[in-house]
Order: sequence, then C-alpha cells, then structure tokens
Amino acid sequence: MLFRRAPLIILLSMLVPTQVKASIELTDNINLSGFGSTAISKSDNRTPLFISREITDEVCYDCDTIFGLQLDVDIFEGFTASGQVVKRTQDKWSDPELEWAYLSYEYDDFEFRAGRLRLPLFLVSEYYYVGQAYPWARPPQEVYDSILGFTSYDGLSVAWNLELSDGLLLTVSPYYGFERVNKVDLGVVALEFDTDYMAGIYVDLVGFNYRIHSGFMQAKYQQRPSPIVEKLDVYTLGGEYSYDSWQWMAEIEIDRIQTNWYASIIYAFDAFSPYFTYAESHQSRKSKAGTLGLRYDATSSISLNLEYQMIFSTEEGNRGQFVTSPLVYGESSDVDLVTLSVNFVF
Amino acid sequence: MFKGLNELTRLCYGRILILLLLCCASPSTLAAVVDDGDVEFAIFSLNNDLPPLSKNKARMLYRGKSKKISGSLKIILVDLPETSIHREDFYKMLLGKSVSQMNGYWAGLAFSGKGSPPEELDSDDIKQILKWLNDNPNGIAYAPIESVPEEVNILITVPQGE
Repeated sequence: MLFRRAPLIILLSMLVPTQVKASIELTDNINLSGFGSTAISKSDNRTPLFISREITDEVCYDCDTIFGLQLDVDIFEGFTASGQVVKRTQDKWSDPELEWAYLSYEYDDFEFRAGRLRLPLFLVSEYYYVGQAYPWARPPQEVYDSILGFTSYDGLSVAWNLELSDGLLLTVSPYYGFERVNKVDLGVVALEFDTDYMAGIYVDLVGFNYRIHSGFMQAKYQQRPSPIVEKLDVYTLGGEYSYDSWQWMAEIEIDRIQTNWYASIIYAFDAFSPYFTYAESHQSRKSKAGTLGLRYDATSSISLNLEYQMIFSTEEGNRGQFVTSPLVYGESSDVDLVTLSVNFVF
Repeated sequence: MFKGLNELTRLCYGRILILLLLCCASPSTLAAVVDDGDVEFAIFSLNNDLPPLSKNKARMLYRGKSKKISGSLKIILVDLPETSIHREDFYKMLLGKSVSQMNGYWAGLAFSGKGSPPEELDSDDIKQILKWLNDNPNGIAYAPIESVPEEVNILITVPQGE
C-alpha cells in the first residue's frame, strides 16, 4: 500500500528542481509562486480525526494534501495586488478555494488592504497552508481548529507599522469583515454560519529573533437554521522566540466556549530539526496531546516531516480533536497518529 | 470561570514580561556565542547617503522585519548563492540561523504578503556584487571584508559590530 504512492512523491520532488528561485518572475511586476504539502497518515482509531482532514485507521494519502498558487502584482508606486488559490485539505482538486484576493496600498507607515483577507488570529495564520514555513506537519489543531478552521474574511484592514527602535517593530492592525456565509463539514454534519460581521484587531511586537502576537476578534452570526443571533469574542496570544539553534513557540486561544493552548520547542542542527509540542483543549473539546516530530530540509524548497502524535481524551465520549464523539464509532477516546509529510515551495 | 480567565491573563502577561527580558538580554550574549569564525563580513553599499547600521537594525533587515532605514529610505537586499560558504557563515554570525532555517523563514514571509526573499546572485564574486550594487542605488550587500574595495560605504561589520 505504502509503495503504491511512492512514485508520486518522487515525481513531485522531481518536478521541483533542487536549485530553484523562490518564485517565477513572469515580468518585472508580476510574480507567481506556489506551495504544497501532502502526507501519508494513519491513526489507530476509526473515528475521523481533525476537522477537514478526517484521518482514520486506514492509511490515508490525501487527507493532508494542500496545493496553492499565489500571484503578486506590483501595480504602481505603493499599490500591489495579491491572489492566492488553494486546494485545501477538504477541497477536491477541481474545486479549490480563493483564499485571498486583495488590493494593497502602502503609504508611509500604513498599509491598507481591501478584498478577501486572511484572519490574523494566530502566529502562523498568514501562512497557514504553507507547510514549508512552519516546523510541524500541521499547525497544532487545539489552537488552529478552535474556530472550525475558518481562515478568511471579506473586508478591509489597515496596518500601522511603527519602528519603536532599531530592533523593535510594533504593528497595530484593526480589520472589519462584511456579511458572508461560512460553511464547514464536521464529519457527516454540514455547518453553516450566516456571519453578520467579523471585526477585530491584532497587535504584534517584533524583534529580530522574537515575535509576540495578540489578537481579538468579535463575530456576530446565526448558525443556520437557528434564528438566534450569537456573538463570539475570541482572544489570542502567541509568542515565538529563537536563540541560537533553539526555537520556542506557544499560543493560547480563549473564547466563551473553550480555552486551548500549545507550547512547542524546536532544535535545528544542519538539515534536521527535531521538535516536541504539548497541547491542551478545555471546555468544548477536552484533550491533551504530545507530538514528537522530525523535520528534514532536503533542499531549500523541499522538506519532510515525520511525526508521532498521541492525543488523550480528558472526558470519555468528548469529541476532543475528532470530528465527532468516538462513542459514535464505538471507539476509544484516545488516539495515536503517525504522519509522513512532504512540503515544497516554488 | 472569569476568575480562571483573569488568572490566565495574568499568567500570560507574566510570560510576555519574561520573554521581553530575555530578548533584551540576548544581543550581547548572542554576539559572544557566534564569534567563532575567522571571517569578518562587511555589510556595504555604493550609496554614500546610507547611514551606518546598528547591529539590531542589520538583524531586522536581514530577517525581513524591516525594509527601511532612517524612517523612509527603502532598502533592497541581495543574497549570495546558496552554494556559497559565505552565505552560511554570514547568517550564522549575524542571526545565529542556518541556511535551511532561513529558507523556511523566508517562505513564511513571501506567502504572507510581507516581503520576498532577497534576490540571489549567480556567484559570490565581488565583481558581481559591485555590479548589482551599481544597478541598485538603495541596495546593500555583504561580503568578506578583505574582498571589499576601500571606496565603498561600509555600514557595519559582522561580527565586530560598528
């Protein structure tokens, strides 16, 4: 079974030459770049694991497959446009998602954006689909799946980038997303949220080897078909710090139905980076998890991840990181997961 | 529930404080750790209007976290080829990062619409570097200090600092 797809991976790595420019310059002002990830993954539990990935105890070759293309255009002095189309884990190849499409204008210390934009809730939100850009095979689900994996809004944002000193940058960015419908499949259940607005702000403090990211978002929505209008306030705080070959990352997410956090430590020696992540979910989902992984940077644009993840339920029958209660499948609430993934950029 | 929340927030702010303290303490210690090579680098330009760089500023520029100097001058960086030993040494000395760590890092920047990796030269020959600088008046480059001609504007040396 495992070998049947091996040619695909070899083919994929051949498609991406070892010495590549980071992207393709179509003209002086137009830049096309791309990214992708795919994985072989298997758990020891029949209950589908993780929203939009749904990994089970059968070896899965396309649960984690992502492919994206990004087009950046310099229009004229200060104006740029960017579009990103992504086949996300839950999408069919024939039906990818327009993840962002915006017009940006930079003036002095300000940057204005309008269009479809990424929700800036978490540390790696902006490159959530780019496996090459973060150490793990997947961003920790406890935090990153807390708002059901919604990643974009249609609206406006402004970012004020202020250099407090030579080594310290402060970014303050409020944003507002207009009315739209957000859909997500949770196992066999399709959820639809009629979102009235999503508005928020993030504040970043950035040094050359650290970043502190804090975010707040309020969403007003109705979960169809319910007529009840609900409001959700989401608070996030994350930090990353690197020193020498070490890197630390930690984040927490709090809203009225849940609290989630993780902490991760990564050590880089040569092309290998072993890492360990510990994560907890409370209230709505109840679990604790440890992930031990190894990333291997094969070339400047291709990396591999091998991961072993153990998730323990802290309440029998609770959904935890599954898409539904494991009781539905008559399964244990604990799960172990093995993943071998490959990431590339061009 | 709210009591718990408050405690959490307090805990978080405590952590930020520790993190901040750590960061303030790090530059001097980092310099001591990476000062092990024989090569000394110069970050330089052909533009005499560019002011000297502080070590912090140089680090911010080469991590793509800052693109301007003196508040308004937009800077362009150039990189040596990946095969160049100087590139490896330079990033280790200035940032304490390996080339593969930097690659992952640049991928994040490029795909978040926050910037693109520096343009890469075909060779680390000083003539090529000078030619690129000549074409890019707001460009800065790095090279081993002994290969850098005297008439260029050296903004900072690495690892010594100003």
